[in-house]
Amino acid sequence: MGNIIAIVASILVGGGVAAATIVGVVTSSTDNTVENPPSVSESTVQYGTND
Amino acid sequence: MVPTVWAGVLAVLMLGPALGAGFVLSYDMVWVPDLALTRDVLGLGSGLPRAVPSDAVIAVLDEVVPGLVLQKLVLVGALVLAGAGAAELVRERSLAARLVVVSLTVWSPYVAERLWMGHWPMLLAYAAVPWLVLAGRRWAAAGPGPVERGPVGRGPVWMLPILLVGSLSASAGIVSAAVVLATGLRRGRRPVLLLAMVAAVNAPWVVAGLTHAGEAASATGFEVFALRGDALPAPLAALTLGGIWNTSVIPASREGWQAWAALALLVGLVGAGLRRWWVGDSQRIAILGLWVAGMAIAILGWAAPQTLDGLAQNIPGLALMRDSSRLLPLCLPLLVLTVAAGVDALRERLRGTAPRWAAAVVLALAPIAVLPDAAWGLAGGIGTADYPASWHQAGAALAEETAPGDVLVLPWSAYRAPAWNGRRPVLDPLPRMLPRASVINGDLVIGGTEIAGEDPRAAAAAEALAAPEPSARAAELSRLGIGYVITDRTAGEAPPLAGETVHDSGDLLLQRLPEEATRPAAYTMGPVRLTAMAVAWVAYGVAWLGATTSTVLLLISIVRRPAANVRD
Repeated sequence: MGNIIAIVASILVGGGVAAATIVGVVTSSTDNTVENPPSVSESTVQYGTND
Repeated sequence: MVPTVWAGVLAVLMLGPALGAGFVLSYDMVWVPDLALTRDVLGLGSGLPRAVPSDAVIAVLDEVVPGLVLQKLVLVGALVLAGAGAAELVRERSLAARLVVVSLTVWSPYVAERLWMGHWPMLLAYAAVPWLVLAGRRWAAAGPGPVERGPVGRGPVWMLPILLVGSLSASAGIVSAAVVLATGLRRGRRPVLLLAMVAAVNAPWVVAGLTHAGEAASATGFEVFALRGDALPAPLAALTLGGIWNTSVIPASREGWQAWAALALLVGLVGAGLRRWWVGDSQRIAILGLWVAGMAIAILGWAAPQTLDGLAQNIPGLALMRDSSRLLPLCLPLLVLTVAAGVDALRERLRGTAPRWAAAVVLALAPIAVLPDAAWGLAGGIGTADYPASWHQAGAALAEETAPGDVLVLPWSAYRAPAWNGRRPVLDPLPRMLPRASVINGDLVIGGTEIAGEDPRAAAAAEALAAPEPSARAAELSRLGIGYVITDRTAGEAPPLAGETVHDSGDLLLQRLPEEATRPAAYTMGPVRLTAMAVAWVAYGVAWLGATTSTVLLLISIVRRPAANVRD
């Protein structure tokens, strides 16, 4: 009985993590949130930000 | 084999569109179709050389393999090598544990952030770390009795090639040297030979740094480049191998709860495996020492940047530590070894095959689940681009020129965000497209703070550009040994100069400056410094020769092994 519960729990947890992984990867890949400098006519492009 | 395949899957998933046609140009990652072996590339220019020996190696290799292909090989190779090395380091552990450490190593904040930042030599050093631990261990263990021998002595055949691959920049060289010396340097185990190998593979950047010691000492900015927290406070971010200074290259998930989940996962697994690893590893002090060194450097840069700024003026080489989280790969061996032990400890507590494998799947996927936006080109952070045809034409036009002098690149700023690169910021690739040494502005602008460049010749050029008339600017530049000026008109405003047009494609203007009677020849290094650099490159060449021999021997052994198996 305990073994069956462990298997079911494993499948649930494993499935949850797998689903979260796939959803996270797909969402972040399709939703491009990267902000790039708005204008290349700015002669000084920043090397980075650290605000 | 399975862990290596898993590492390959993760590499492809992370790089995604970056593997398509075109160059990946992101911040410091600048690759061109055919890099010329100029004075700058060899570290013989007036500026502090930052890409020695990586640029020289690429300039040579891209004569054989096109730069585009070489870049893809480096990016995929670094990630696969890192994962495979981590799995190999814990070879005695279960397959599940090895798969988990592959995920943890490849899908780490360090890889994502440094990939976005374009620090590909650091990615190679990160990938080399597990292999160098293995190499160092074998070197230290090589007493009497059979041991695999390379052409340079007692050590794996692949030791020297990996050491070279992992030492393509100053920071990378420090990481690789520290790892192989901490694990391999033992009395009676040919310490001089090991030290000689390390010295040879690092000679170009060490000597280049010494010959530019004055410029190196003026490098400041510890506060700007210090370890920085994301959702986690800075020291905790470092624990998970995150915490890069540039907040523009931090995946969004690192700003949320996933960073805490990643920390909890890591601490849990390390805690579960720490004791088991400690009692079973004869080199535990060396491994722990590497971790302490990596963390201490990272945290010191965060805790006392102003003190380090002051010390760097007097201590040669200290400025190398200003990007303090860059050396975090030193922490990787301890994490890999303890996590693998932790996974096995956890699995042993589970009863039955299914729960054990379910746990393995969960743990192998967890690093991806808590950093999902590292996928598919860092969720759009990196991509590919093709250089405009006009860039090739400008390079060809300059190659046909015979007048003396170096090239000045305008507009007078270091970084660009070209439309043809999707407006992604990148260190101006134009100097690398040109067949001559160049003078560029090395000033960096970070969050509104300007970090002055170190090249005195660039500072003189900036003064020349401030002259009121185009003819006066041209004359001043000419007196600095500058014969040509190339202006990228798409990158912003640039002061006009009096000169003869050599090539004008609309976006790029190449001008030849009027010859001044007092124009000196292009910059040349003094004879003593030149000799020192020549000796360094000879030593490096010898190391490459040894590595090439090793690689050939390795390939022969791989080919012969299956044949021997068939005969058996």
